[in-house]
Amino acid sequence: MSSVVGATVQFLAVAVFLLAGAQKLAAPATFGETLRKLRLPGVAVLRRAVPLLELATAALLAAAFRPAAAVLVALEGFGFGVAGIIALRRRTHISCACFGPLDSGVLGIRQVILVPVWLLVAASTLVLPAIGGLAGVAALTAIALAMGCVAAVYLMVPWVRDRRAAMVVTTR
Amino acid sequence: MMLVGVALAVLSVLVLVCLLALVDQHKSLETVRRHLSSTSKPQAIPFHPADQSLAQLGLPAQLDQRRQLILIFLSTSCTACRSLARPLGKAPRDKMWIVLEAPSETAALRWLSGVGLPNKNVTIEVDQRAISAFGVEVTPAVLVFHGGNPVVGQTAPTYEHLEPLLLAEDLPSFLTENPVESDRSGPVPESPNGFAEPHEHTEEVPAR
Repeated sequence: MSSVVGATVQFLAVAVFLLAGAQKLAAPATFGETLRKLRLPGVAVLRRAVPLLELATAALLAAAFRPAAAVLVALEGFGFGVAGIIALRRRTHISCACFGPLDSGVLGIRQVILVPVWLLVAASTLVLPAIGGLAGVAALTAIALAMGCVAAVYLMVPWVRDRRAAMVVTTR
Repeated sequence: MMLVGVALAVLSVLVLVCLLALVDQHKSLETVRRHLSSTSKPQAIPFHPADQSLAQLGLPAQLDQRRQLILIFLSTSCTACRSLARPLGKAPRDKMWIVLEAPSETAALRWLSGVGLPNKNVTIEVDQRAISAFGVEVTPAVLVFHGGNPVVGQTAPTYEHLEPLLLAEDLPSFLTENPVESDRSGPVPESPNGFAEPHEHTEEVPAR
């Protein structure tokens, strides 16, 4: 039972960090704007470092490098919480960009509330049994490919709709 | 085996990042499209055939003989005309003629040189004869003629809306087979070749 819970938490966290990191790398402008509004130092470095750190966390979680993954999860969760507190103190509307342009939410109380959840995930990474090695890497690949398929379908739907509309006009 | 697995994982993550970047680009494109269609969509304008030929209205006589003609009405007092006229200087002019409304010929020539539009294929009008003869009340406006008859009237907010008209080989068949008059205005139905479809020519209402 604990192995099922452990694997579920492990790969949910992998999916979250993978999507967050990939989205921020794919569309850095939105995340950069959030960092600028937070008035953090070294925005240019953070804009690239944070998504790479998230991808590294996903990889470490998938490969079950437990202590390193737990430390990174806890640090990032804590960092998100700090960002939420800064946004609350600024009393300005700062877009979260937690998942890049996919996330239109506001940075603030949500990130603060989620800090204990991230700490729990970090703790479970250390305590609960996890899938590691080649199986973990294969699972990471499968998750990335599944997300890629969803993105491809998202792109294909309007393309097919436009093509059909163009065919209707030209065959009139 | 482990190395191959890691390589595949890295590749799949890279593919994911690329696809997400495409999704982001697609979203940006949609935003631009929405903005363009809401701010500068061409509108059909009311017009009617003139009682006189183009030559009688002060335009060159050879225009009456043209199978296809795009008459562009500009005015020195309209700001949109200025931005539309700038790229017109380099546009294909074989089937285009510009009618420029101006308070005086001097003002018109000054305006033309200001926007970099050569005084070629241009008729300067100080008495608004031609524009009034077709019942056109706005500038910038475009009248598309086929066989000497106006078949389409529309505004041209930007050159990008006008370019397909200038580059089109021929008019769509629904315009040449049933040339119609327009006395109503409204948004121009979107057409991939840039031609505005007259309101009267619909499935429900037979063309006159």
